[in-house]
Amino acid sequence: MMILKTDKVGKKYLNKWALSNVDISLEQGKIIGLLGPNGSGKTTFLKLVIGMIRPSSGSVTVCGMEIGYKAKEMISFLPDSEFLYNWMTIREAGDTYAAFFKDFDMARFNELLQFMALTPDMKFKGLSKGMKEKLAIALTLSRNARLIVLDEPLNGVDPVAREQILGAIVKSFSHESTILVTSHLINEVENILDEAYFLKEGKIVLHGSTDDLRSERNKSLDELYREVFAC
Amino acid sequence: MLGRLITYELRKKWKASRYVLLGYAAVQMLLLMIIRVFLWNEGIIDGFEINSETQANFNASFGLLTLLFFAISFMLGAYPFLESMYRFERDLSGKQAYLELMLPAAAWQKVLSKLAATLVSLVVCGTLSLLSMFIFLMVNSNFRYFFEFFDMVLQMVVSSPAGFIAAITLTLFGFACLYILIFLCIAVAKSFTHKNSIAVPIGIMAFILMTVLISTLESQTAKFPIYIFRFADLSFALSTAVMTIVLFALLLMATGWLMEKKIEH
Amino acid sequence: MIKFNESSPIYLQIVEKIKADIVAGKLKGGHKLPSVRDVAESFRVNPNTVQRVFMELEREGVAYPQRGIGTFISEEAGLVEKLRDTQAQKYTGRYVAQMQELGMGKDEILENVRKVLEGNENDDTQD
Repeated sequence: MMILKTDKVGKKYLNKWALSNVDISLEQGKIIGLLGPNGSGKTTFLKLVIGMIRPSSGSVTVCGMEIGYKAKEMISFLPDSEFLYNWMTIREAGDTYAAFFKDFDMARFNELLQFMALTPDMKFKGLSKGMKEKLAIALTLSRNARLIVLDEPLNGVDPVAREQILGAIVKSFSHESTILVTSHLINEVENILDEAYFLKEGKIVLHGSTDDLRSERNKSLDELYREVFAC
Repeated sequence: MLGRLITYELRKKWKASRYVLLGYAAVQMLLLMIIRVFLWNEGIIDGFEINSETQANFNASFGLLTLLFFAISFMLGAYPFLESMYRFERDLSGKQAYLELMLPAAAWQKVLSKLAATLVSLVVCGTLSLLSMFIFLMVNSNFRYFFEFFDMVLQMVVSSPAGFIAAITLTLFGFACLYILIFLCIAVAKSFTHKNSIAVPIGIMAFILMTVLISTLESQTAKFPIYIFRFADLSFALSTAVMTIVLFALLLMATGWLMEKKIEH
Repeated sequence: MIKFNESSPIYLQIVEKIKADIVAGKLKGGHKLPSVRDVAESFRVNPNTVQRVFMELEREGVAYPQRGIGTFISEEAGLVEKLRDTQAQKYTGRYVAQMQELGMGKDEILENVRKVLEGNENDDTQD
């Protein structure tokens, strides 16, 4: 079953195509990377998937459904910016998710909090950038959603927090769902990816399973990435 | 889902407004005390019975403080109005827009819940505002009209309970219509751009246009009432009543539709 | 935690790591391997990769699955010796290939190996 399928999807801003002819098919039970430098169209693509913006051409379906609020129930999204309210404590943030998302697993949330050394009584306002990211990751991964979309989960956090976040992703991975993760830190994410899509100037320039990419060209993804995006 | 959305919106309102309410209470209490102590020092029992013999400078400062008190009370009454506009704008294009839009609910339900929370905050702030003005009058007049006032209110309610309820319902519905119109205009503006320097003029233009359009429609339908029914001293034209309700629903749907289909982030 | 080599598939590297642990005696015949999820978590790799590791180990007869319980290291006699042989062949092969790339002949390679080994012995005696 295809969890996410896009058909020649494109997005035009004024007269510039931020994304064009992107075909992506994600199978169930995989972790897939969407890799590219800043400004390559990664976030634009994710916004199309979660319905924050609408395609100028082509189509996007999640589990065979057009993007609408019904599809949103199946997508757990981690934005790359802060999205919680300052007045929330970690517990209240969890309660809010539990109230709105039927698939929210409170036990897993608490387990992830413990794993990432966060306590429920902390206030969002007082958290460091890394802690905010960890909380957001815990919330997003605690949903049993069919499609989990993580936008730059490692951005701006220290190496220890990165390890914890990668650990949390692996820990909560389920064969029922698919994780789509964007990053420009290839070195950090390449070990957890089944497949990778390289996005350059709004187009997919390379796609394959990470094992194949590595053994065919005898290079790590990181080296491949440097090669593809070298000017 | 609607119930959970309303609870959530009320929490947001409470968290955003609690310090404003606390500040309001503190400032008004202080003002009230200053004025009362002032009056006592001057040996005046009833502040509203100052005759010409009292000093002019005392009159002036008493007047000024009273004016300030009423101005602040009025501001509290206006606060929910401004806060709701600001909140709705932020929900559409602020940092938390992601969270707002991720919630798996039909957009009209989200709009309706925001509207409900706004009305609650309007009632709470309006009541507090009126209550503090009442307390001011009572304290500074040494509770002169206390019983007369209650008598008056009680009679109003008892003489026509239906009329009392109708008046309150109509007022609330009137506010709901106004707010949904404002929400729609904000949504219209946001579907063009998130830049407020452009969005605000668009929103205001939309508001003026819609107001003109709706009032024209209302006055036209009033000419063909179909049936006029009376309820507690008030008479309504069936056509206008039906159209107002239909318009309200349409505005709600339109706002939801814009949020779901047109506004980009 | 192991540092993954850049270019070969990660699952093969984990397979090698587990084989090396068996040869070194850290893992013994009949020992239960940790669950897929635990291995994935400790290596910070994709659980599907670990699944593949287990399949590869089973295919090579190094490990066997017990339905509903887990995967166990094979108790087959001579397993350690066999693995040691193949690993030794592999490492030596790699070394020889690299030396040949430098243009070294058979004698030179042997000479170099002897030198390093004797050097190590000297180091040992000095301690």
